[in-house]
Amino acid sequence: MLEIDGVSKTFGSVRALDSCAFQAAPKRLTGLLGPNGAGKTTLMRCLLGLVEPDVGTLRWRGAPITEAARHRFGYMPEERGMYPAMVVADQVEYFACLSGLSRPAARVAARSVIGRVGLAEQAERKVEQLSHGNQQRVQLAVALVHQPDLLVLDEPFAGLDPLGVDTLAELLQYLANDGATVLFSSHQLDLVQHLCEDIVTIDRGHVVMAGSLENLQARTDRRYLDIAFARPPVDGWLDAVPGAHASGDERHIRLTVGPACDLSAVLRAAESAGPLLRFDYQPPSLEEMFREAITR
Amino acid sequence: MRARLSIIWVIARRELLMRVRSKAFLISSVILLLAIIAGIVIPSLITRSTTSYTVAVVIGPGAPTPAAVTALAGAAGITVTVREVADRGAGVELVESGAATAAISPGEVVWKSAVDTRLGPVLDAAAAQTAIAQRAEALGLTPAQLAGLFAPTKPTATTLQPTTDRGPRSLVAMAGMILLFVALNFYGAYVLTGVVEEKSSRVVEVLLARVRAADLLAGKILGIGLLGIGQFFALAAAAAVTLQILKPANLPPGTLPLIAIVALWFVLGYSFYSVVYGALGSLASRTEDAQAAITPLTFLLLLTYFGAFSALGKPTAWWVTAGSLFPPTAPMFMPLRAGLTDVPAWQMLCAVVLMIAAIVGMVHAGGRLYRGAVLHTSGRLRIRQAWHGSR
Repeated sequence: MLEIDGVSKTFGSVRALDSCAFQAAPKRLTGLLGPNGAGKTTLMRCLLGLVEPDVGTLRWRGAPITEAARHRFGYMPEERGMYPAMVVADQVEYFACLSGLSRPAARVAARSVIGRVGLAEQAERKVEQLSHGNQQRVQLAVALVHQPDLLVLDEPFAGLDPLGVDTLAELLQYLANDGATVLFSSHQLDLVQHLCEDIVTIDRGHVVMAGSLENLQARTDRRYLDIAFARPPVDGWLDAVPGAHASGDERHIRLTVGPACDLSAVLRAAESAGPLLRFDYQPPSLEEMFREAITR
Repeated sequence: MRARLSIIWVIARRELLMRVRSKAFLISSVILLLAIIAGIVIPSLITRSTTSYTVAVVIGPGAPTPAAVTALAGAAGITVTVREVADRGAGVELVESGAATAAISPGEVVWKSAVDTRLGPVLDAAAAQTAIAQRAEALGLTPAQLAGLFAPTKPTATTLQPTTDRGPRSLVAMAGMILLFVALNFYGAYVLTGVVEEKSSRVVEVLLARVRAADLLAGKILGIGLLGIGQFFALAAAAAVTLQILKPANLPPGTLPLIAIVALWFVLGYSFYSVVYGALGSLASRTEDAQAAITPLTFLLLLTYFGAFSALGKPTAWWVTAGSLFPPTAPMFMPLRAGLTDVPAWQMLCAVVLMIAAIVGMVHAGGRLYRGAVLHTSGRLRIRQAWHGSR
């Protein structure tokens, strides 16, 4: 379990983190959301010891994070960085050695992780000769080579093609199932909604929304009802549903209702208004919750 | 501690191997090697050619014998090959064509354009000896008496205030000083570009997520330092072997300890300056800014270098002694003093202790600057900003 409690950091006159607090659990993917400049990168740098917080505690498995614990962390910074003239295999092996692996062990680990990210055929090429997407895979291999317990990835999906996104998503899922704690930031909210069990949203250095996606959605007091009619419904059918707010065109209607709304009453009213093609009840999407959280 | 040392070694090993394997390094090393060998071989070939001459000797009464010419030449340290000719005309012809440097006939030495400064006195002496022998014979002296008259005598040389010959030692000291200056700049530049490249390629953040900034800097300096020492000794060995093959020299006493002192101060000077290079380099984000970031350092090194050169003239001046104790200038002043004068042991020890203290201080201060600056990847940082940096 990763616990962040009351962490603040100020750079000059900029308050990058402001009493930031949340937790990330093992075997789960945690998505770190926030607008640009919200403090996500600073927070990740704090976790890796690259930035010392002014106040607050960072705990890993119940104890303050030490240098030894950080040897078991994997990190992929937002600004990707590698030695361009170094061969892929050597590079990954080198970073494994820096994480404390012996050279033979590092070599074995490097070979295996390079295969896992799908670069086995490029292993003997220099990083600068690879495509952008493949360089990103090398970066990921570097972050994974020492089989970290905690993975901190800053925008890992940025710049990947759809296939690359799928591969990375599968890999992260696999690592989480294997017992790792995975924390990653992203602006692709549909992807985060699809992948992550837990969500942390920060805005201006402060956590504005945190918890499991399920709970967060359950906690919202808005629901959406998407109704599609085969032909335009009878006027005034909605009068039977108090408190509903309708939007959309003639045949496709989105109703915004409260959690206490009687669904069967709405269904009966809709059915009597005309033949239905679709009647869909859903919580707000992550994107909607995100917008709401950061404009609050 | 052991884990940290092994991490530092991992970093140093990469720095060393990446550079040794790079084509640029191999090519520049080979060029340096060839330049050093050529620098020794070519002058020695030139000087050797001027110590051997061909002389045309006109055979006849009143002319020196070929044996006398070669004997006198040998005494003067030059080699003369004699070509006997029948008359003056034949001798002049040889000089004209360049086959002989000079022709000697009774009472005359023929040169092509000018009198050679080394061969001239030898031929003059040969001519004079022959003339004197002729006159003595005219006075009725027997050849045996003549030989007795010319028997060499050598007076005893007495020196009132004997001094040891420091010529070769001061040469070693000066060569050492120049080498140190070049090496500090050269390998310092390696550290500088290494630091800036890691910053501009952004790999530094990935590195610092795993290792401490101080260890990263230490590993880099160690790796490049080993490379420098290795290259230095390879070049020195090449120079020594070439010299030994060309003309086995007997080193003057005290040269080997002096070489050891130069090597010691290279290690100390490099340790000090490479940290400064690394710390100042971390202030720059791009290669273009790097030179500007190290301007103060370049200035200091140049000043030290020219200071050391003026110290060659008066190595006992008070400011030379001070400079040899003051850590930033000591690496160049102390070897020079050791070559030119007898440095008291306590001063040498003092300078080394001060230098080590300065290195420790510099590692702390430079390490702090490096830590504060190295993650700052936009623009150029001021020293004060880095000092109060992000950690």
